Amino acid sequence: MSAATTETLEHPEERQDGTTLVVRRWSWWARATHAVLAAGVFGLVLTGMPMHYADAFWAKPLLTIWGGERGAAAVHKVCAIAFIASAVMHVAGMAIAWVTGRFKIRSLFHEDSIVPRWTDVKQIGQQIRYLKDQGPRPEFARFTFWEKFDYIAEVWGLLIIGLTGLVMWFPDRFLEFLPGWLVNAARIFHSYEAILAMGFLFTVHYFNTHLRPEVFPVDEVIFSGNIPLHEIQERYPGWYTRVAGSSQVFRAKTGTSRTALLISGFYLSVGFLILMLVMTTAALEAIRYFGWLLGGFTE
Amino acid sequence: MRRLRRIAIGMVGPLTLSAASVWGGSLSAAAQEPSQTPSPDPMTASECAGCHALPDIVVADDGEYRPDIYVRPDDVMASVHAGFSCIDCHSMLKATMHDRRDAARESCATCHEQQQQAYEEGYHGTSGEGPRPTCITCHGSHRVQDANTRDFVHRASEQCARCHEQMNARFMGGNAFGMETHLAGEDVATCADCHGYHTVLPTENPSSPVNESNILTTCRQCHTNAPANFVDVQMHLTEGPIPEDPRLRVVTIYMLTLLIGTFGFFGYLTVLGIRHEWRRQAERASSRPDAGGVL
Repeated sequence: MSAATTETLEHPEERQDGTTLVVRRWSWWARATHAVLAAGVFGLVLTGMPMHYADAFWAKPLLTIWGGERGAAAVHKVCAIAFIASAVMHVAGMAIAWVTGRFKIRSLFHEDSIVPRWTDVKQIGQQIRYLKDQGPRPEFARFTFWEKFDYIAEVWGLLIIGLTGLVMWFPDRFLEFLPGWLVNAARIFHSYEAILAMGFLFTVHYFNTHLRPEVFPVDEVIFSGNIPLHEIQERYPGWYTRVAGSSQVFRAKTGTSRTALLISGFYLSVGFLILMLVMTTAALEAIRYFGWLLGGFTE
Repeated sequence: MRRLRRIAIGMVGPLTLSAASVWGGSLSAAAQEPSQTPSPDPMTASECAGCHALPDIVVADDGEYRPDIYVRPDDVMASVHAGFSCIDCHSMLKATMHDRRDAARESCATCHEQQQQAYEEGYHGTSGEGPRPTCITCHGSHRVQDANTRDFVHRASEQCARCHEQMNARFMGGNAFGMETHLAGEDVATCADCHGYHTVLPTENPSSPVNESNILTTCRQCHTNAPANFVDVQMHLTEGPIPEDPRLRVVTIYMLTLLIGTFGFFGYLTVLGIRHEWRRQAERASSRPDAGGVL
């Protein structure tokens, strides 16, 4: 399957048997968390979007897949639990790793942590200059600023979407201590945050992972957990200086598996389809709203 | 009547017999099923159907299409009143044309007296002003549907929107129920669930279910444990994207800014990235003439 087996090898550490030097980027627990998260988010998008854009032409056909609006609402809640479960898995995984000593709190402040640092802000400007051919490529550590944004957006999104979702799910409980307008606010937060998250995942996240020309059509790293050393050298030079030659490097088989192709093919195509449908409807709505704005806030 | 006769005889006479036999035949087929409704008089139905079941029925005088004159046999057969004959409702029909609306209302009241009385008590009854809905506005005339279904309640709400246009737009625009109303969701409340039906009263009226003094009780029809704050949730929110409530306006503008800012920034980076990648591919291609390939 791999191009390396049929053509000349691009990198010296690659071998004819399809193996190369790799580093573990995602633990099996992180990959499992991502799988739960991805499945949950997909279910949420595919049930939530037709409920939000209920008057769009694609809403009813999509809802029939879930057995109508009632079924969609039920699936939405099940997927919401999966979404929250992924966050619990993430936090629990860190807690267990901390208890067993594999994870140190101070590593959060290491250069290779996903936690944003001042360096990331500087690298935004560097990256723009680099893309304009006005400067060298930033010395990215293990996570680039856009990958960190992915992560922060996910944490932020989970808090916003999760909390507002719970408010709408159990209004009786929440209204005992919350004022009524917050339920209206919850719906506004929930729907905008959902559109923001979906738009970000199905464009920026996709284009920076599977749709990069070097790895198209699938980035194997989220399936195997391993990233080839030569890729680290190219994409994360800062990390490379720390990881090259260390005990973290080992030899493993790389290349696109059939399962990875099927799974990512499904997610990518369905994701793009729903994104296109939502964007068409949102654009039409924006045009209508523009006319409404010209007419003033009140009739 | 003279006009009608002209249509029947002059324009579509030859077809009359076949159409009459279709409608009359289907009516008597329905009558054979066990039913509590009065058995139709096939002769009367056939007689009316002779003209009124012809899709191209027109008034000969001006050649203008009058959809009201045409009665779809399918509609009558799908009605809960399928077993009735025409004159059961069109009792005011005499030798001349009748005022259709008032005739219908009177006719409904012969069986549905209670509902008619309730209707008269409400704003839509005779005391109200302006154009008002009557029985058939919501229930339909020839295709009268079972009113005890959610589907019926949701379709009836579309009739409310014909006059209460702004309220409808504000209902659709951002509350938890509005959007789903498009889907006629079974669990979703719509106009009649809160505002009542038959006796529809203005909000200021102390008997109105949406009056301040009654609204919590109305919410509790479904949300049995609804706390007092429940009534503060706005059901008619906004027509456009930006609500009038200043707090909700802040929330909306904040989210819109975040949305536009995020996509603006990453869109800019993506455009730069694609341009950069193209140039790199072009450089590679020129440095490796043998490479050739997809890109």
